Amino acid sequence: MLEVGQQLPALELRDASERTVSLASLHADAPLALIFLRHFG
Amino acid sequence: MQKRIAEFEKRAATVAAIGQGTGAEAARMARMLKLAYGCYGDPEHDAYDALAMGRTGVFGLTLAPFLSNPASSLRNLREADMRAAANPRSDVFRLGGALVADRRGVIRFLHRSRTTTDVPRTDAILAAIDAT
Repeated sequence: MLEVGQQLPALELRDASERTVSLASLHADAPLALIFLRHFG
Repeated sequence: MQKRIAEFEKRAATVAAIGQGTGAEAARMARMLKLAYGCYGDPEHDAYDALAMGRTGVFGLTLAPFLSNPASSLRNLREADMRAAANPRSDVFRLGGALVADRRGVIRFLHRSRTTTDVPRTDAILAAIDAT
């Protein structure tokens, strides 16, 4: 199980146009705060 | 967090949300919540699985949040989008959380919610960003 101090894995998310966005691109230029919503509702 | 977005902007941090669903569903959620930051879809729940976000059960989804915080529980029920609950891509038992990663992708803060009302403190997230 991943914990603090470990590297984020390579993951891909989808933007509003269903294009693939790499998680790495979100933290490449600045620290990233990523919120996991419970569900879309 | 939404109310304190200026504090994240002051730190030049990227803020993003993800949810179980498509990118289009993420965009709809961002509009509904009037999010001031990007919202992305994770239709196969790869990120949730990789970060080991927890799950709850029927009791944890219904009676437990009502007993711990009745007002919040009723508000959540009133605002719930039943289309999302019926979405086969959405696991209603899955819990959320938050993380902070530095520019190299090293996890500096990780919160896995233990209940539906267990949300990470914004101050803790900001402190983790300050430490990067």
